[in-house]
Amino acid sequence: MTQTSWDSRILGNGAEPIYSVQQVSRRYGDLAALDNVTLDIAAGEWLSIVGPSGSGKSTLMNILGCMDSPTEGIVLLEGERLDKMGEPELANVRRMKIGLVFQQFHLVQHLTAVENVMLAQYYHSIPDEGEALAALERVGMADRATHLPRELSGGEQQRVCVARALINHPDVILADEPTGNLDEVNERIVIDFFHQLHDAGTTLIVVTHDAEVAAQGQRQIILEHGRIAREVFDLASTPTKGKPQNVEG
Amino acid sequence: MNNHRKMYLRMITQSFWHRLSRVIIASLSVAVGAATLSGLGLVAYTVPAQMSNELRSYGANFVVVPEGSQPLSADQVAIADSIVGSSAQGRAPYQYTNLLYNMQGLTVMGTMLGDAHAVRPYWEIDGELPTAADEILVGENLAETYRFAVGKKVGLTEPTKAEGTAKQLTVSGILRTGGAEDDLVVMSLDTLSEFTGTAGEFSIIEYSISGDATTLSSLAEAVNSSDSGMDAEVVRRISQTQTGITQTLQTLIWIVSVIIILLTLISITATLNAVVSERSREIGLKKALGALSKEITREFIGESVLLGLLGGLVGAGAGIWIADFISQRAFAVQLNVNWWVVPLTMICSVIIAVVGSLLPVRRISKINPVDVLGGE
Repeated sequence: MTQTSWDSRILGNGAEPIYSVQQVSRRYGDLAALDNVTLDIAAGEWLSIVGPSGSGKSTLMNILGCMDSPTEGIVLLEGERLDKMGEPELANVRRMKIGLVFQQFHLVQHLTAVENVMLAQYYHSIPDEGEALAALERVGMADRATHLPRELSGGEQQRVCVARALINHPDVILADEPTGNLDEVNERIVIDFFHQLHDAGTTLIVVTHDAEVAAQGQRQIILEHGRIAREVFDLASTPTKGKPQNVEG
Repeated sequence: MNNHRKMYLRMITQSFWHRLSRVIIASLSVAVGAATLSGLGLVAYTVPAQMSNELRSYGANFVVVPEGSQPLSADQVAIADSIVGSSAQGRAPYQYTNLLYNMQGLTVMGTMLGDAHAVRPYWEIDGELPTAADEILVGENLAETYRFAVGKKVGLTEPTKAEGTAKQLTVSGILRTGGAEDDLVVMSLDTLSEFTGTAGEFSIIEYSISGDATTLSSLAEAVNSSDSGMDAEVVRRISQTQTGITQTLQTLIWIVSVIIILLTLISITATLNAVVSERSREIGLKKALGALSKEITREFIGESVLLGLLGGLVGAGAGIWIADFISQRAFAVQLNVNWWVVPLTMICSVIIAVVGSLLPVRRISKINPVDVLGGE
C-alpha cells in the first residue's frame, strides 16, 4: 500500500490529522536526536515507533507528549501548535488530552494504586474514587486498589499505570516501552487492553523495541539516527494483530 | 469538603507519614527551635513578673514625705493612698523621734509593725514582732552597743519636756537588716504616741508598688501635682534594677531567638532541599500528568505546614519544661505557665517551616520530567 492511499484511508479526504509533525528537529548542541522528521498521525490510529537505542524514539515521544519542544519545525496537536506553547499551556495539553504509560511504571510510591489513578484526576479535574476503582477493575486490579506500589508486581504496577492513563479519557495514549519490563502474561494483558482502547477510538502511539508489540499497530515508523528510515503499513492489523503488508523506505 | 481538597489532604498526609525518617529529622529541627523559642519566651515574659515580686523584698520602691517641715497628717496619708490605689502591694507610715536611754539619745521609729514588715520583708527578727503595747524591737547594732537582749527591760524617756514621759519597755526581738534599722528602736505608733503625745503624724510613708519605672514616675507626678503638701519620690535603685533586669533579659532573649530562628530555617531548608532532590522523579511524574509547578509547590507547602504543627507541638511541650527548668535553676522562681504559648509556638513553627521551605520549593519549577523520568 502506498503512502498516499494510506493517508486517504486513515485520515479520510480532507480530514485533519490529530498530530502533524513538520520538519521537526531536536538538537542537543551538535547532536541531532531528531533530524527533520515529518509525520502525520490520524485520530484513532495505532502507531508504533521502533528503532534501535539512540534513534530518537523517546525524543519524538517526549515532543508528542508535550514534555519537550523541538529546536526546529512545527508540531500540531488537533491543529494547535505545540512548539509555540509555554510550560503552562503544554501542562494543560498533557492533563487534558494525553495519557502517558512509561516503561519504568513511575507510580507515586506513597500513594496506593487507587490514589495513583486519582492523582491523574486530581490534576485533570475532580478526583472520584468510584471512577478510579472502575478503571482499576477494567485492568483487573480492583482487588489490589489499596496496595502501595511496592506491594505490587511489575505487571500489576504497569496495569495501574494504564488505568491512570485512561482515567481522564484522553484523545491520545503515549506509551514508552510499555511492555519492556513485563513478563509474557502481563504483556498480553496490557496489549489486549490497548486493543480495547484502540477499538474504542483512542489514538495509540507506542514506542517499543519489541517487534511483536510493534506489529500490533496499524503503522510502524522505524527511526534511525533521528530520521524516519521507513514506514510499515498494516491496515489489517486492527482490531486484531496482523502482519506487515508493505514497507517503504 | 470537596473531593479536590480531600485528595490534597490525602496526598500530603500520605507523603508525610511515608517519609517518617525525614519527617522526624525535619520535625526535630522545628521542635528544637520551637522548644528554645517557647522556653525563652516564657522565661522572658514570666520571670520578670515574678522577679518583680522578688525585688520588692528588697524594700519599698516609692516614698512620700512632707513637702515642708510639718509632718504628714492622717488626711494626707489618705490622699496618697487614694492616688496610689490598688497598685500598692504594701504600705507603711513611719514616725521618727529621739528618746533617751540612760541619758543617751536613741533614734526611735514608730510604725504599724505588721505593715512595715510587709514593706520591708528583708527584716530578720531574732525573737518576735511586738504584739503588746510595751514591747519593742531593737536594732542589732544598738543591741550590741547597749547589751540589749530579748526579754530585757529598757527604760526610755521623752527628752523635750520637763516632765517627760518615761516608760519601761520589753525587747521582744532583735532586728537585723544590714541597713539603717540596725541602729533604731522600733515600736508601734501607739506606743510612740505615749511618749510624744502626738497621734496621726508621720515623717514618711513607704509603698511597695507593682509596676515599672514609668508607672512609678507617673504616680509620683500625680502625688506631687495634687497640691496636698506631699513630696513623692521613686526609689530608683529598686525600680531601675527591676526594669534593667527585665530589659536585659528580654534583649538577650530576642537576640538568641533570632539566632535560633535562623539556625532552624537553615536546617529546614537543607532538609527540604534533600527531600526535593529525593522526590524529583515524583515531581517529574506529576508534571508529566499535567501538574503545574505551583500545584506541586502547594503540596510541598502543605507538608511543611504539617511539619510545623508537629514540630511546634513537640517543641512547645519541651519549651515549657525548659522554661520551668531555667526558671527554677537560674532564677529560683516557680514558673507560671501561660497555656497560650502552645498555639502561639505552633503558629510560629508553621511560619518558620513554610519560610524554610520557600527556597527548596523554587527548585520544583526547574525539574524537567524528561530529565527525571528517563527514556532511551
